[in-house]
Amino acid sequence: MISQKLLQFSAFNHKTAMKTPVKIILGAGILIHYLLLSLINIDTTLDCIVNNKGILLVEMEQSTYQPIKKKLDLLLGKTDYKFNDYLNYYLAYTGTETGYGFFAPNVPTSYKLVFEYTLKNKQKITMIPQINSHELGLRLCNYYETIGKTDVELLRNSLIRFMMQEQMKGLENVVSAKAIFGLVLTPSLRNYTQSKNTVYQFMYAYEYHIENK
Amino acid sequence: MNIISKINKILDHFLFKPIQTNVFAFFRIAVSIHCIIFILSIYAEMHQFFGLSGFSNREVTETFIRLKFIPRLSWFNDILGGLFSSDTQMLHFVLLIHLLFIITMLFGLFTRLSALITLFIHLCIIQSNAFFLYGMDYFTTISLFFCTFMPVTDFSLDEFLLKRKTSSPEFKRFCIRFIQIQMCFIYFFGGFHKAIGINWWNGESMWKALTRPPFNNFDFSFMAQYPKIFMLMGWATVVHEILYPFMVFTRFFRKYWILAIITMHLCIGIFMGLYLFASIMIILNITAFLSKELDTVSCSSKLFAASVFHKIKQLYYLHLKFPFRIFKHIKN
Repeated sequence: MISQKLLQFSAFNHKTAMKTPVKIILGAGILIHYLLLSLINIDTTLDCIVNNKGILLVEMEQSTYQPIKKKLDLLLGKTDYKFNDYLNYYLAYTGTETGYGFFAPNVPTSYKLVFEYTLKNKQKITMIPQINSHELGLRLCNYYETIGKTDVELLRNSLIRFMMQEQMKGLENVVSAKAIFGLVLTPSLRNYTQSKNTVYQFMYAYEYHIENK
Repeated sequence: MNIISKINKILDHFLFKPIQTNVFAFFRIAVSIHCIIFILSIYAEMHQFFGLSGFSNREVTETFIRLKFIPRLSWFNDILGGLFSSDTQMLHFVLLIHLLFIITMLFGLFTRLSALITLFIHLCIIQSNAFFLYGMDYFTTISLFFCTFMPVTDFSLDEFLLKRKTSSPEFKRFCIRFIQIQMCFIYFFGGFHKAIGINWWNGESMWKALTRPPFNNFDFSFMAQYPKIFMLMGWATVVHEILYPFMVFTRFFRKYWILAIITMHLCIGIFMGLYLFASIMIILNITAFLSKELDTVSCSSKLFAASVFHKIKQLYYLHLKFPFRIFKHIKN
């Protein structure tokens, strides 16, 4: 209690009180910052709803949201980013460029990437990417999510190829490599008592001939 | 009194009511330690994720940066690339510079400059490979951004050696409000997004979060026979997050709500292995809403330290005479 009173006493006895113009500038700054943050978050919320990922508002017509979403995207410089470069710089430098819907609306599914290398002597080696650091291991999930969710085939192929090339460094005389990418479906809470097995669902496979590169 | 002047008065009271607190010193120190742990955890395998030849290629991942002046690691490569024989060496050098400025920020030496450079290098690292980002990176950026302009110079070498003045109590209140509103946005929208998904209401999301790799640090399968526990946990998460902005500004619920949120983050850190995410969220929560409690703790620990110091001084005065003189000399 005494310490609190002492703190308050020293606060009110501070010699330099803040001037009104400074307060106005700071007030305007905080208002703009949070206006931007509101727009970003409304935009990501609309993303969530428009893509029919949710249940609560899924009944509503997409046509209701699409015009607002388009306007927001334009305002935030998402569709035509030259229009709003400075805004995007500010958002990137302050770490507010994304919304806060982590693990939402549902927890994302896990993915798995397996490589099968064929050596010159026809021996086959199966490997999965190995990470020692726990922190970087967590990041690998996001990488897999990008591979799993992207519509750009070239990007998916390139990302898998980079991993394959890195993995292959420790191996000699590799003739060909196969990459198999899939979903890891852990048993749901409702079905866990019936089946405890994790299911792997195939998504993509690539074959690389190393000699030809 | 008309409505405008009333609103002005309310806003002035809300944003600029003077407050004297040491919570920003805690914030600076805690964020610095968090950043040091982050650097140490990625140091050994940095090249795998942010290098030119690793699990991904930096030249490719940087093409996804939309704007020209967003910081990236290739800027360092352009300037320092010739000095190092390999890209890995260059990356380790960048991390060491980063570490150096985090340490200067920790001790509060040229605090603002250190915070700015730390933010810049942090942005370089995370922007260079957006495929590897997760929530923690954004919250670290936000925290470092706060360190660049907030009054984090309390208990710093800047204050002690360079005799920098402390910020005005009004500005301290403003900064606390800034963090508080940011936290309200984070939790409200986080909770709202979760509420949209059905799986947070039936317990599936909570179950999945605890059992899916790589978050399955502990085996929770024995709890599968009690699905209602997961359902309740899911509800509690959504309700606590959505109601956060309303409850933390009520005197009655504030402490309970913050402690519940901190407990949730502790559980995320321990059971899901997201310890860095948990730590930065706990730091932000304490700074935003537990400044009074933190000040009380720091004041009582100061009093305790002073009494211990006094006793030591009494007992070993002759032995400590010389160090005391040096200390006084430096201080003056």
